[in-house]
Amino acid sequence: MEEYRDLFLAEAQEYLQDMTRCLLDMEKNSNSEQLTEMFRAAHSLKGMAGTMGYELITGLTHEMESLLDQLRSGKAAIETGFVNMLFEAVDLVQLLVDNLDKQEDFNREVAIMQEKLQGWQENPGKEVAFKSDTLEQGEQLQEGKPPVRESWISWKEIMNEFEKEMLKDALSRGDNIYHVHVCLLHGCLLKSVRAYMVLKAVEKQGEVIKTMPPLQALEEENFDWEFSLLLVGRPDMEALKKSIESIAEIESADILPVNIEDKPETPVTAPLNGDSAAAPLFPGKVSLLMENEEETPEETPRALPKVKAPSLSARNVEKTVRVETAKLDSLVNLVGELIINRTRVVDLGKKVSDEMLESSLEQLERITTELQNAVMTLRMVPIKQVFDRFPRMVRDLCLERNKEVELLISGEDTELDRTIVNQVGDPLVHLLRNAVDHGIEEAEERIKNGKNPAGKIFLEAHHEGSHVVVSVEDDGRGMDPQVIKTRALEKKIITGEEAEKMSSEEALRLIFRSGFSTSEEVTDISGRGVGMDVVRTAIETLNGTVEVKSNSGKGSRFILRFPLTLAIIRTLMVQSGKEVYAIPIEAIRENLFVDPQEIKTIRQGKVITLREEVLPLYSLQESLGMGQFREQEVYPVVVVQTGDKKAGLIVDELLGQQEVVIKSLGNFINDIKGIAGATVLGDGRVTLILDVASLLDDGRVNLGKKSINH
Amino acid sequence: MGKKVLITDDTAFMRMTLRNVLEKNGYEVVAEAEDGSQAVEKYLLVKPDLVTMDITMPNMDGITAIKKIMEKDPEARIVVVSAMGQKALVIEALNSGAKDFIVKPFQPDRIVEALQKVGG
Amino acid sequence: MKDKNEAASEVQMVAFKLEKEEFAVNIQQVREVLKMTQVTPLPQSAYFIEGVINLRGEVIPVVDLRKRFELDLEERGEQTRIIIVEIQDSKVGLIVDSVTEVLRLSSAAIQLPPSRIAGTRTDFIKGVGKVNDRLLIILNLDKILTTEEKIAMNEITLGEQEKIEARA
Repeated sequence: MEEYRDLFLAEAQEYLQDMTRCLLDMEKNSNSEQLTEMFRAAHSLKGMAGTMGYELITGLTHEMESLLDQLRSGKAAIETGFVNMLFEAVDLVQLLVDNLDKQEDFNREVAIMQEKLQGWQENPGKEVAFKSDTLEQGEQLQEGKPPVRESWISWKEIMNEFEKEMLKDALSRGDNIYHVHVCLLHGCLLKSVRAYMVLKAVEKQGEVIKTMPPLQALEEENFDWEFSLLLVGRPDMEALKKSIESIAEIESADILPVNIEDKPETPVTAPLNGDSAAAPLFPGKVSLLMENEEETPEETPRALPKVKAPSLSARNVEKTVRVETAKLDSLVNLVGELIINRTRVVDLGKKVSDEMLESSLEQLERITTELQNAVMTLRMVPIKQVFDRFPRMVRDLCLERNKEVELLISGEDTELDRTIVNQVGDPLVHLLRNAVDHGIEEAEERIKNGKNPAGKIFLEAHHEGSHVVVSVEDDGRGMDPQVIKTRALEKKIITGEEAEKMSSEEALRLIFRSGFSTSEEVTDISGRGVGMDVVRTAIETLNGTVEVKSNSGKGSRFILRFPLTLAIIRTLMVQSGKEVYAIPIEAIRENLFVDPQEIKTIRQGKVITLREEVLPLYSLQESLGMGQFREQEVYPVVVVQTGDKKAGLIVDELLGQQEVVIKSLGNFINDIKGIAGATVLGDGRVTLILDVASLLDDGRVNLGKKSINH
Repeated sequence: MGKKVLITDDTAFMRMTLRNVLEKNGYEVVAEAEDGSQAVEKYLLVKPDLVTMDITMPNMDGITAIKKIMEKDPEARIVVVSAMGQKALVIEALNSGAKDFIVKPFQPDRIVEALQKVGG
Repeated sequence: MKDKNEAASEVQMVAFKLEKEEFAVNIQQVREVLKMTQVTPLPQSAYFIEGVINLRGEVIPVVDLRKRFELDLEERGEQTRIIIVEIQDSKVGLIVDSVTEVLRLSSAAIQLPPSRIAGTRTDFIKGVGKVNDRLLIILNLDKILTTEEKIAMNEITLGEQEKIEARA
């Protein structure tokens, strides 16, 4: 039961988020779409909870569902009071979902809430039509009197909510339902691949909702010589039959339309798990029923887990698969190991120089690279997961602060590594809170300054090369670099001398220094800043960067940049002294070979002029404190850049590009400036991966400057 | 005249067995290839109506060969001859353009059935 | 020594040598012992960190205990070993002159560190074990490896007088 429970939890969260989103939309401008969507979410949740035996959730969602249905058919204006009530209900469901083991603690709350919801239904604020006849066909059947049938083929008995939902969708699109029965020649081998070919052929003509035996059994060849499919679509039956029968070792294929209302003319029994040679699967009309859930309390959960036989389905028989993240991580790790080993084997292969070995190795490389890419995309999830909780948060915050703020979100489908998505939430919450609390002014102040009384916050995400950029922008009061400087001076974060030299940009960055802002009173002056150092640290832990731009009086913008993935990166291997280092390709702009005569000295630092731009040069070896800079006839230089900082790193030799798996140096080693992690090379040696951002960061650059002039 | 077939297999025994079965059933074996790259080469040369393709072969494997042949002639009719237990590879071959497959050790009538279905 | 298994009365220890002194760590903390291998130096890190090694695909930092205790650096020889220990959930390698043996010590043979002796830092030592005439200093690795402060050899060993007392 445990695994169903996990699945239930995961799906319930999704539905809860859907409901929250709908409510927020509803508040802005209600339309029937949101009502329908919310109704569906409540309905699905009810079904799931019913199956799992969570009575309180079932009861509560039932009331929500009825209320929504009532609204859906009527024309009631939706007021804030109503939306608030539904928010409360959603919160309560969330509470129940979060405390599955302590349901009975909430008896009272649920009873009260149910009463509230019922009260609204009986006595709606506005005119509400009491009609519920606008249900879709499928639902009508579901709510209507179920015809009772006995022993013939019962697809519905093995169908879960999701599949029933798919059927309903198909019907509402005007598709038809078909039962496809396939017989294989006796003794045929690789039956699973035969089934795969059949599925592929069938899916050209429609959508396969379910198979009997289930996909997994088909894949594991856990059946004899026949199987059935439930197909929706508008196929050409004759052509479909032909295309299936033209597959080798397929004895016959029969296709029958399924009429949901019709009784079958002949009872048909179907084998559920393949011990079926005797059971005539056929012929006769097949009927399919959608009945009350309680009829199938046991079957439904059996069909619930979607983690099954994904490879067999040629096209979204199952649209999604849920996998434990731990399994995913171990897969990623294993692929990482595989890549390392591949590199090792390929290296060895080069020494042997055997043509056959070479071509096999090429294949190995190709396949493993594809595998790696495939695995990496498994880790990618849309940032929506994080963004979705913000509208509600901002709404509540605004009510609390008595401010009017509109949160505009875009790019929520942008995908990035799961680990980053999981951790990017907190810094974003911080930034959004700050924007509402301190960025956006009170309405009167805004009006006085000729602004719209309602503030705006833009939350945006997009891809930029192999990075994801997330920005939080507000049209509030902005930050004054001068005020920040003064504050930093008072806090003794900078000296007067430093303050004088500081550009406004540098001054703005002071808000990220630890100790700059710890209390409310500070933030009221700076306009922002509760724990901005915390935000920065959180982002940097993810190999990300944060940048701030502000226009005093007009607003502020925070720009966060993250790598798409944390696990595998492309690097350039360079030799520096005795060591080999890996420089992430992301940070590299170009490679140069510099003649010593081109190097000039400006303000005690070495520079070259590159396309009319002055580029500072540092010896990598010295910057890392690993030895003296040595004169060479020509200097290989790697031009690196992060943010707007650009520099040339002098190395001894450029060794070539390589993909590496990033490994942490462990908790024992604290952050080392200039080092992002390590990787294990083909020959088993450990190579350090440079962190260009911290290498170019103030301290490091200075060190380089000093040491290069010894 | 029967349909022209190109047999691809790295073992002489399999090639011979296939040739016998096919010729007995009215097919004309126009060429034999010992690996994938030969198969690609000979395919372009003899333009057979049907190809039988082993998967695991030296130099160039069957899947790569299927892809190369399909690139050159999207109409090519290739039947994969696989060993048991190569499920994933068979699926890859099918996705790469093979029309159907048969499994070694095979029954002669099954090969003929497969070729007939594929070859029309 | 305060050990969870005090009642069990016997502890297994891995004994190793550094200069002329013999030390020991609880075997529960030891993951494995390796021969000296290639170490990749780690720039900008604590002075006693030798670098990182590859242990079956895992990257593990290695501490040179000679450097840690400010001893003269000697040529590493055939006997040099890396003891992989686990500290606060992460693995760390310790370079030692040699690993002498794995032995069992009865709790009775372990004394608390002498507390009032000049030079000796009791927070770096968990106890002193006595095996026949040998004295094994049981190090508090967690403390030794997680503090940045310098530790001199005489802070973790016993003076002559204490040795005599301890043997008594």
